[in-house]
Amino acid sequence: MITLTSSDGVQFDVREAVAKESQIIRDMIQDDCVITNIPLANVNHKILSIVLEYCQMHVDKTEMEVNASKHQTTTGEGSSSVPVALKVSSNKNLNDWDKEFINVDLDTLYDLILAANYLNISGLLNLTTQAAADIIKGKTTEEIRATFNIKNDFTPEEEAAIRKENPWAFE
Amino acid sequence: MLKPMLKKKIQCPTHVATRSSSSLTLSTSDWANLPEDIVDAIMKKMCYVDLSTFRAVCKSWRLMYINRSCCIPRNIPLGVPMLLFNACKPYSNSHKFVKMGGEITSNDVFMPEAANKWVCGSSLDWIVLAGVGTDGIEVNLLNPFTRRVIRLPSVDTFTMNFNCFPEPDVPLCCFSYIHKAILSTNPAISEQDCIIMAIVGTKRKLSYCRIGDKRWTNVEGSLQKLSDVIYYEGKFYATTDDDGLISCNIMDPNSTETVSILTLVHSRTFTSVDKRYLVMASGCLLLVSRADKYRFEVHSLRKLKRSRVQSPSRSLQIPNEVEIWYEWIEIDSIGDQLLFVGNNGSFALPVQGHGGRANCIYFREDFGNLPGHLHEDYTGRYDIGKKSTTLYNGYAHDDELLPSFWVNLTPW
Repeated sequence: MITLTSSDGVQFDVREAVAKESQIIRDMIQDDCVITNIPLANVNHKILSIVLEYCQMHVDKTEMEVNASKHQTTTGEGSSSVPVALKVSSNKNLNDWDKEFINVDLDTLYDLILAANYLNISGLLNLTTQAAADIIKGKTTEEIRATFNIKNDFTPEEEAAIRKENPWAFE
Repeated sequence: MLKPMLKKKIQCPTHVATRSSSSLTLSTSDWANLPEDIVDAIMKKMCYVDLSTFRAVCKSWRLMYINRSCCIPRNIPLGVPMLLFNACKPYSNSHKFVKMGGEITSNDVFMPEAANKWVCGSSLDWIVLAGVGTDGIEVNLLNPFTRRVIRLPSVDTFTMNFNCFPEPDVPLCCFSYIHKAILSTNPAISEQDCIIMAIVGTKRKLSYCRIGDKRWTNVEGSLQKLSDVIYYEGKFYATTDDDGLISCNIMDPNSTETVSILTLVHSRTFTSVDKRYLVMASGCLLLVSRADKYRFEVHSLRKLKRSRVQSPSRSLQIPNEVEIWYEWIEIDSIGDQLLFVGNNGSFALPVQGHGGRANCIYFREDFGNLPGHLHEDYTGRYDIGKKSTTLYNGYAHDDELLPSFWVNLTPW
């Protein structure tokens, strides 16, 4: 077990495998094997608990697959179609879970992106940045500003110049 | 011991389940000043249309967009559909991109990797090239921006029966071997997820490979005489010379692959259709049929359902069983969209952010590289609503006998 302490002092006891989903923690543990308590200065307890929920689920699913394939080889059941089907369905379930998982408000998404980046959890970074790109998708500039609460800091002249950057017209 | 664990239903994430309301409130986070590497990761997941709005949101996002795109050769206009000319010009180091614009601008782009090769397709910023190399006929992916080349298995590893062309020895006779090749995902984003699907051989059947494969794998059970193939949301769709439509699903890269083929629309007969293109426009699969040189018909794929009628003799039949089938419905409008159709890749773009005329098909001479067709040089626009054709003049180029095709490139 490893204890992770959030920026606001809340302690989380997690299995080493779960903590190691984070590249930064993996590196720390490899450098010094006696580390059992890791303070995380940039992640508060609310976000850390969501991040750990993600890590836990992904570790569980990976272990389940490993067990399933071990079971397959030890029992020697010839047909290879069983683990294939199993894996496809479990990947599908995990994707569905991810989809549900990332259904959060924008402030949480923002914090999750920063946490995934800081802790270097590639799967979570990929999931969160994709979610941000999906929110931008299909929106107009004005809608994007409204959604993300971003101030338009261009002067009218600059904005007119930017509009001209898509000059493509046939006639 | 294993079974209960496998059957365990995946629970909804607890933070979602416990959340009282999912309504979006105004964000108080500083999205404009996200670290550059994060914005970079988000930009990589956007298409050009979204990027063009993204870069106009605020100064800091714009700066990050410019920093990211500065590695691109300045003479290629991004996100603007262009014609790539002289794609397979022998012994040439540079290739001409011609922008469709108010005025014609053309740029020579230094691309020695494509010299003396034929182009089998263009999708997701990559060009699929084939040509004589050290190990027979090589197939490569080329990104014209980064000039990165990814080696694919050679043509010699096709296991199709090449009937009347037993020896692939004529480098520019592309259509005997690879008619068209497309990518499922951009390898610059995810190399392991990328499947290259090709229509090959004289029977025009499907064969695919992944990056790193030693050989091409045939899709068994596929219909023959396929005329076009596209990829959309996990599946490949291919159409036959007689308007049949199949879907092909290739699952699970890590273990034994399962390829499933489904016939969605059975063949029927259209009169005098010279060529067929599949295009995905706003989530709708369109079949664009080219009736003669300049005349087009557009059909949309429609999903139909009906409850199966219970037959009195089979009382055990499950009630409410729903039968699903698909059919092509002719349409006379594609809305505010532009369609670009061509041998090597067809795509749709919204008018917004791109200009051009809505509800039109932009096309190119498309027969010159088919055996037995005399090459002519023309580019035009077909208005679907008005059923009228406008031809553009002045797009002639030096080597009339070489094919050209549409490309639409993004920075990665």
